[in-house]
Amino acid sequence: MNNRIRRNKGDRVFDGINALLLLIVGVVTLYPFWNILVLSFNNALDTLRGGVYLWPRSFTLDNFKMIFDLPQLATAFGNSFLRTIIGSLLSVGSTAMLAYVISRRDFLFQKLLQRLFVITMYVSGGLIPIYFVIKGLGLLDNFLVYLIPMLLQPFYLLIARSYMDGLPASLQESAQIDGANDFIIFAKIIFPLSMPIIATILLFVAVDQWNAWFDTFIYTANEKLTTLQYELVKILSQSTASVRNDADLRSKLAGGTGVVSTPQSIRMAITIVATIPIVVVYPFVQKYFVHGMTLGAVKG
Amino acid sequence: MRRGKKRKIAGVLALSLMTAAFTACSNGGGNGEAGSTSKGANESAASKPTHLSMFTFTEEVQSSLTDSPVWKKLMEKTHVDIDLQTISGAGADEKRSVMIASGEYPDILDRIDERFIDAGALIPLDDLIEEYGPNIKKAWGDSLNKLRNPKDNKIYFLPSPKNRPEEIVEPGGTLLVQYDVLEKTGYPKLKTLDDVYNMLMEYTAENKQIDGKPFIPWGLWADSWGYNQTVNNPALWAYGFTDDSDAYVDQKTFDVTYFNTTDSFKNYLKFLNKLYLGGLLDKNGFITKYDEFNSQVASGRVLAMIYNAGLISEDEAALRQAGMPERAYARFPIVAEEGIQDRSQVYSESYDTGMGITVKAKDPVAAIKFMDYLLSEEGNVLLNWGIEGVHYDIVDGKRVQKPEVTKEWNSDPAYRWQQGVNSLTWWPQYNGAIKLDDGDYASPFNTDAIYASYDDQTKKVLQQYGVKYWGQLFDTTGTRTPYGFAWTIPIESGSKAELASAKANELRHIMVGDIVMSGDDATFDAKWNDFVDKLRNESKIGDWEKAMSEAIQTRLKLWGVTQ
Amino acid sequence: MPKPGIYRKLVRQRYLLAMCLPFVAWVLVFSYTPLFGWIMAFKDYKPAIGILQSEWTGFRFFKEFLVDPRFYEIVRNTFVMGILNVVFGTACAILLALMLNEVRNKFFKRSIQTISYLPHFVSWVIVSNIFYTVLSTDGGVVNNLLLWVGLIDEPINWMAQGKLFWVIVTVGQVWKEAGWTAIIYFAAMTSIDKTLYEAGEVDGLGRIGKIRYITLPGIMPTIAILTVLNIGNLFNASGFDPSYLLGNNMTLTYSDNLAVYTYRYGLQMSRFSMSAALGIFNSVICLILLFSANKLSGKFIEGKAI
Repeated sequence: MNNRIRRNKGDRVFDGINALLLLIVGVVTLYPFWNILVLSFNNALDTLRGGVYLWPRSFTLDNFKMIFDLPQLATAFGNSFLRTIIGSLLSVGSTAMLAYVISRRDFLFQKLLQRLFVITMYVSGGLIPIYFVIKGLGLLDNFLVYLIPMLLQPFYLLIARSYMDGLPASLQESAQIDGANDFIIFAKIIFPLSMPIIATILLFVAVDQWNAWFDTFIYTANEKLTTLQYELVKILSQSTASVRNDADLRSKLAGGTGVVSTPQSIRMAITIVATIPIVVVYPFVQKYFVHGMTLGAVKG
Repeated sequence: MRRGKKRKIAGVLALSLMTAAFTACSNGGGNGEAGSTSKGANESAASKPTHLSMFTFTEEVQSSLTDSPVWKKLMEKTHVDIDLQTISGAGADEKRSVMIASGEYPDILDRIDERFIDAGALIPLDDLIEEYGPNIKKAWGDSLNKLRNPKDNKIYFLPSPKNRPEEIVEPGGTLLVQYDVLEKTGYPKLKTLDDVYNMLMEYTAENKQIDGKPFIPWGLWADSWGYNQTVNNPALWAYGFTDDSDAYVDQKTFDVTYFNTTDSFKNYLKFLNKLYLGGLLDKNGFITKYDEFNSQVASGRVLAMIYNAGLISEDEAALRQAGMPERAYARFPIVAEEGIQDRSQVYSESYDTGMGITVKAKDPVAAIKFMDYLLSEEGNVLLNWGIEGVHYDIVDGKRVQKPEVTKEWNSDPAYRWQQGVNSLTWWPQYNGAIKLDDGDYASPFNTDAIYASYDDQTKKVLQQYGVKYWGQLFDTTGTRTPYGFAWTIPIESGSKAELASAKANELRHIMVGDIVMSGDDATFDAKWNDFVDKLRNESKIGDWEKAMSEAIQTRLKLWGVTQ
Repeated sequence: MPKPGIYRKLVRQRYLLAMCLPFVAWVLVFSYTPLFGWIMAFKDYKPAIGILQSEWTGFRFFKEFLVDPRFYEIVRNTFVMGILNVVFGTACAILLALMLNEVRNKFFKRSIQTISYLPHFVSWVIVSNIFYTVLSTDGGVVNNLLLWVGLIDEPINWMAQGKLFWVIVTVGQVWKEAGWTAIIYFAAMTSIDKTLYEAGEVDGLGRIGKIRYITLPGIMPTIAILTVLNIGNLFNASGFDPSYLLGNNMTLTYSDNLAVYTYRYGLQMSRFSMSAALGIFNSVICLILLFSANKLSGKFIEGKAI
């Protein structure tokens, strides 16, 4: 059966304009990022003078050196990696399951449940009370503090629910008739069919986990629990502080020829280090944004 | 296929969970339990070193420090094992808040804030110093009184002592003029602001651009804290005041007026207005941000400014690296008119932060003994010069840094931390160009060493002005204020005075730029009057003035200046 | 006396109950228990003496900011920037998702999508630097272009115009987040039944027609929920970073928002009570906005958004 949709002149014009606009979007969003990439490989002092746009004027790896020289790099990376993987899987599983419950309008407590979570998006006790709760639960200086407080985000919950709302009700009904319980319906039917949104949420949660540093800062003191992002933030702070330190003046008075990195350049390097993993992983997630996942289920 | 995939995911999950559980269990014990406290007076050589935890609220510390040879030697000599944690800038407010609210303090807090004292986090050190701090007593002498807290007369922290004359190696806030400008205008003698104005007019008549971009004859950046550095403080220096920051203190009655409402400040703004009308002031100066300003300086466009030279050290390094050493800056004292004595470098001894022992310290005696060692000659030299034979030698009775060390120091900023040499410059011991009891410098960062570091261009200019280093141009004989620096006087957090000060700060950010860029005198005066008016009535700056005046009186009594 | 029908229903729905109870416990512990901290807003909380012992001040802190003349400016700014953010943010994200959805070439589609969300990872510090550089009066790209084309005689100082600030901050936020938000809409679009498009083709719909009658209605539930949530978030939308970093002395009257105000008069001065009071104010406004938007949403989709 020839499924191909006929392409006429109108179609081509549309495609053309669409592509052009998207190209502009691409350039406008890529150029600044490209600039950051370029600056991260450019000598810091040279960058200060400005004028570096498309290609490094004075190539160097020094800005990254500070990062890779970190003694705790391995630990930090390891912790970040672990928390991202475990945290995302836990969060996604929990979010999907809860979203399913909320999507069931026939559930007795549906409305209450939903509002219970939504309200928390806008209402917060503040840093200090939350700190006391975390302390009271014994989560200080504990790896679990990276996983549990961040477990659910109402925002992700609701977009998942919204997606599930769009799935055909017939699927669920037929399964219920077959005698499946709610958990089976969720695990075997709803979850697989919600892959696009699950993938989306997985991506968002993974990014949240990877970039988190504030919890490391406030809730942990043990060096063994440090995370990559936190170490990067520290490096940036150090660089900002050393600008004003007298004893560093000597090397600068003499014309500073060694590894001198400015806060500006370190910021660039950090951005690159923080972003690259996501960019690398994303193509795998993109696979799920594919038409026709629901089609098969209805027919089957 | 799908089943296999599921199994894989399950496997990864299980493995990760196990790893997490393992990590959680091994880390769950957390901090602070390691080590044992040595039992009071019973110290045998075989006892374990005392474990002390220390938080330092300054971001400069690099993690290689605690593995450095000097640090290790320090631990050995003091028989303690210090767990050092730095609090980085982003989030310091939150961390402090959380620490105070939960009452979870380490043994030692370094670089404290008066908020910690208000919150009752620190213990008074008086008795400890009396019994266990001979070196502290010897070094501080009477200056200990300057550390007393106005509320209860007790000492809560120990900073780096500045009770001995310090040679000015690199002067702080001063007039900075590009070498090239000096050369092309014949190395003029710059005494007053008018001299500077004339010099800039002369130079810019001939020289308009560099690398295709116009010069910015007078540098300024007034966003956030830049205001204090480039607008407020220069006005202070120009009118012969010491660093009292926002306070104008009448030296007879010690009454405080908000500096930004005084005539001196008004006249300084008039100077900026003159620069503006002469086309010498950057129109955007009042909104320029820190990064942008550094960029301007590093590309050689800023001809002159009154600023803290230390803050542009990287920009000067960039200029030198780019082959433009003539665009680096000479440092001069400057006053508004003849007859005013420059007191910008007059050091008035006062302290606002230091190292303290918290109420949670299990062994305060070990802590104070540690701090005492820092002020012993041996300890002082160890942290600043390093280990004899490794980092320095004694030549003719004087300490001389080894040439290899100097070379490393000058080329790699991480070196100081990796070796532990002269890195903890804010710790409670003598630092900088101060001479210790043995007659030699406390640290390798002193005038002789600096002169050796200068590049040829700098030496050439120095010669023109007849000095070996910039500090020599500065007059340090000016009267010291009896209350130290006004900015070290703490204002109670959450008070009306603090609120007034915050509001005033907001107001001046909004209004001062406008005043400076007035087209004529009439507009200037009108805007100025409006500004002062709003400060008094809207920001209620009077509350702050009152609190400061009282605080100064209290301090004067505490320090024995008045009864 | 609860009806017997309820018990039966509970039993029937026991799995659903089991599936949500642990999370209910979680949210009660982590989100609702800390609310006891709201009591700080009514006391002069001094950490050294603890919450219970701190002096009771009633509504003093609320009064303080409600009488501050600058406060109304701040609320206005927060509100305007929030609305601009929601409107343009949503519109651009949807537009981008639609455009991407129409692309057939897989490689082009994927690359542009990846590129479009990169700005999400760039910190506001860098973004503000970019703006200052691009809009700068000496050497900035925008001014150079306008001068070259002859539209202006002198460079315009964009960043110094208070009134332009709202435009600039919105552009910045859209640039930064549109691509990332578009991912959600894009994912929603993939769930639209492909046969609908084929039916539309048969009915004679062109490309734009299909978007109007199939794609958009298909993602309407998603649009609705996101918009309702975003409206609730209006007050938080213009966060601390953009205002603090993009704003400067000349724009303060337009750029200062609630987040900056809270930082300046609350956290920075360690006035926990003030922070708490401002937080409560913020939460109340958010909830009012949320439930109003929700009610309105009933007009666009069946059943309200939440």
